[in-house]
Amino acid sequence: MGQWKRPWYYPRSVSGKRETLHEAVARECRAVREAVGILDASTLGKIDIQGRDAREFLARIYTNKWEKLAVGKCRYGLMCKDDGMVMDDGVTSCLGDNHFLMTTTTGGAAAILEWLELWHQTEWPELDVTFTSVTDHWATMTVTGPEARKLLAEVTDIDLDRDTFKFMDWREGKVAGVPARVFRISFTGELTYEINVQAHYAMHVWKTLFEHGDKYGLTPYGTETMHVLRAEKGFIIVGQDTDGSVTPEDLGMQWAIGYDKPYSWIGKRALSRPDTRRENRKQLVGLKPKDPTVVLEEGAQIVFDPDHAIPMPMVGHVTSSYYSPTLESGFALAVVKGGHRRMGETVYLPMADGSVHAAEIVSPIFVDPKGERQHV
Amino acid sequence: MFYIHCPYCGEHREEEEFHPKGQAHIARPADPEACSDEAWGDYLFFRDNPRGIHHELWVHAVGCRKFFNVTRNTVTYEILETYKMGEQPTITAASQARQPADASSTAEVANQAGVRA
Amino acid sequence: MSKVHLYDTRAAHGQVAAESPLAFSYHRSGAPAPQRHSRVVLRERAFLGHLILRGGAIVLDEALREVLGFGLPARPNSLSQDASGERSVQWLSPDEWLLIVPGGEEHDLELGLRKALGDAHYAIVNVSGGQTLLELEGPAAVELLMKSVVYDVNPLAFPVGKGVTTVFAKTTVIVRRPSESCWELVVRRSFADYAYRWLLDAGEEYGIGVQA
Repeated sequence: MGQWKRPWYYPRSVSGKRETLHEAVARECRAVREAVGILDASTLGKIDIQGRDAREFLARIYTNKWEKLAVGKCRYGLMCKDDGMVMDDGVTSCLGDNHFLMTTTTGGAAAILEWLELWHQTEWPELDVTFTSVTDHWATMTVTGPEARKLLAEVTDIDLDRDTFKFMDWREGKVAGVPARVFRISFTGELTYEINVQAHYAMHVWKTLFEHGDKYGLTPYGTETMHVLRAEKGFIIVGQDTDGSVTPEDLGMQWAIGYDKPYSWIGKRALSRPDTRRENRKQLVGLKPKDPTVVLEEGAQIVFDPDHAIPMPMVGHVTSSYYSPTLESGFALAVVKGGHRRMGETVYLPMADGSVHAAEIVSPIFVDPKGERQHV
Repeated sequence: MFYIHCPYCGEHREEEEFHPKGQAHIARPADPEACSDEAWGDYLFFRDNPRGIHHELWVHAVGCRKFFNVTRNTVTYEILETYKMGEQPTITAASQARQPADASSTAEVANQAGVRA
Repeated sequence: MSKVHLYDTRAAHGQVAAESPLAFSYHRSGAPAPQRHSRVVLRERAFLGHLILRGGAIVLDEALREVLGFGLPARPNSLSQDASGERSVQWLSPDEWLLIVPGGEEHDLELGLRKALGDAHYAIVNVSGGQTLLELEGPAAVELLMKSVVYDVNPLAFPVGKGVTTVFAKTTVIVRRPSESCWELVVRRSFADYAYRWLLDAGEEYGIGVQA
């Protein structure tokens, strides 16, 4: 991912036989949904933002609102280019009134830092704000799953009470004896603590978590499982589910758009152009293959009428597709023309070998649609 | 391999340290909501592609990370000047056209500018 | 400025196993001991305090003089140091400097600077976990650097006290020359293994040794 090498999956040997990718991912997914898993998320881009105008800058560069984010809180943010197309996303936390920590996608970290500098240096030099990469300073360990609280409680002095340390809060304290900053944010949909420590101590903290984690079934998971778990929740990956031609509205993320913010933030004007208002734009949906054993091919083209003469009108494509051990079925995210109005309709995916898969258009949130599990 | 003068570092640096970022001096409209769709489209997508003198935005990406402007001849690749953000070029197609050319490349630039004028 | 959040991320000394950015590299690629014929020696100065300072030169210079006893370097692409050479400030851009101090001093130093800076526009960011400092010494140090960076490191063009951010192989490093005989590289944690292996490979012909 980006320039990083990351563990893809952690195969175990079962009676002398090494697990396949599929077997390992199924086991890792179950561990997160039923017990607790851990991911090395250190590669996340992290940018320290300071200055009297930091909050104003965020309001201009992100699509959503920042003026009321209180110290101790985190918020998901969506970033567009000025053409209204999504370019990055991530969680930004308020550390102090004039102090924020922005996270970016792993692959986008350098480009986003340059993007922030571009706007500050060329358009808004009067804003008092600075950006400094702290990606390498902090190591990040994501502890996620229903047993995450019990595990973390054994190694931290932070009060983990669910009513004091809520979802989308951050707290500081010792983890395994190391000063840590812990964020309750979730890319899996489960109860999650993202533990950040100065990178020198990462191995110590990682090992300590495993010393305590055995009895809870602590399982390391790689990027493949991370992808499956986030897709089950309909969480996008910018650059995979988006390709530079997708607006926040195409993603169904109107909740992350501050239409009434005073400053005409980057991307806003473009969202009212006729082309971005078209009803038949490709929109993000879920796809459920009629045959649950089928895992659709990423990139496969979608048609409404498989009996149409070739060339068939192509109406979208699959952006992410996996087998879900939780659903016991294949499932996919896709962009489909006018897809948001087509829930329940059937679409077809003609394959190169002549076979045709059928799939139902469904909500992109496959697991825990009310989002209850991350709040426990 | 050639060297570019970074106006912030105050010295010539290897080209590999820099990235070009497109046409310079494109200001974001002050009130985007008041722009017509056409005006907004122009701002977003339409760029000059002159033969001869061109003003470009560059960034000293592996270095001081500052953005600055470059006046460059797109025919000869010659960089005629670099200047900081907020400053204006001293060399332009118009100023070149006023000067009698002594080198053939400059003459061509002058001709082009003359044609456009 | 109370509106900025301060947090000392360093663990109490000796209580927790700390790993430098090169811990894995030493394990995987080894660390050949310097020999008599070694014409270049590599030494990591791990766990130093690294702070990024942002702001106007005049106010930062004043605060540094007050707190640290010496000020900003006068020119771009240069560094200033205290008498011991243990503390240095390097120009990175017109509003950005890198302050390197003995490990463990960085948090108190940040507090002191913030107090001295008061209401000024500035930022201080601790990046100590994110980078490490490598020293190169010996008659072939310059040659090794010439093979590795695009910047001209000929001692005539690169006098003592100079420091630049430049391209190193396929990555980015800071190159500095704090004294006549010593060259320093500041390397990002995530590229430290790459830089280390590059130096071992490129330094092989000079019999490069690694001093623990």
